[in-house]
Amino acid sequence: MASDELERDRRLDALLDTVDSPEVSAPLRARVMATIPPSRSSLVRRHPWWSGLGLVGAATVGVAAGTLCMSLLLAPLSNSAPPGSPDGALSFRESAFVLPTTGMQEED
Amino acid sequence: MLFAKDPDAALIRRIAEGDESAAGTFVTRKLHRVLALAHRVCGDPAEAEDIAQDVFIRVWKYAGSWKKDDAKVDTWLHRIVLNVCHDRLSASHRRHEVGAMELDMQADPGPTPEDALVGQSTRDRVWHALALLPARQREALVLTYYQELSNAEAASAMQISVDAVESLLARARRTLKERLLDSIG
Repeated sequence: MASDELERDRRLDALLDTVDSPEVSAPLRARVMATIPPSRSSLVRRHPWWSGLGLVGAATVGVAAGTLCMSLLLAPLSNSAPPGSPDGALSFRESAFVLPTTGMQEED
Repeated sequence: MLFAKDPDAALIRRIAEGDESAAGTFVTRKLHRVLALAHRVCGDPAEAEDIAQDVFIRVWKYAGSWKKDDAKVDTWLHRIVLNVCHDRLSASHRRHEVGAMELDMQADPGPTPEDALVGQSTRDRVWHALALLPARQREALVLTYYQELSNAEAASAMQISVDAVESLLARARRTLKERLLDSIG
């Protein structure tokens, strides 16, 4: 009885072995390989100008940031007009009400 | 440890780190197994190729989440294949199971359910009999017999207990014997 069941198992296995698996075709392999995400190093290798573009971008950002800092630092100084300039008449730094001390001395 | 040595562990770690050559090696090593499993589970060669492609896309995406204590890479990969197959079956309203049910319904009223198998080549008869199995029984059989996973590995891939795998296998083999041996010989 047990040997009969073993024989049936063996026959079933032999039948199952007739179902083979499909071969991997070259187009399928290429399709799957195309899904591999490129690594960062290979991106630079494939597009070497990307690294140059990165440098230019960093330099541009640096120049812009520097310009902004300098303009903020120099902004208060630029408000003080040099003496004698037309803008000086509008400045509160030099008082328009100067006492005429020299004229008073001459009257004495 | 059950999975002490895993030949693919280093490879999957490199893939997680974005190593392109490791991914290429992984495709070379695993594509045939992935395609074979997908083909035997879903039954359609064209769909099996689409499944294989989807599987590897998921591998690239989730390689970082693989943990060596959880399962061997191969078992984890088989789990992904089954998940992709299930997703596609759900998306297509389980057309294969419906088809199999229709075949069963056509066969049941007749004198023998194996009428549909008569006149076909041996390979086609076996293929047809496999397709008629319920999905989970077919998966258990394909994983253990064709993919040569142990029952524990198949259980891990199917995310069920080892006892459940053994039960599915027993029922699958009993059904196949009835359909392929008893009536046709």
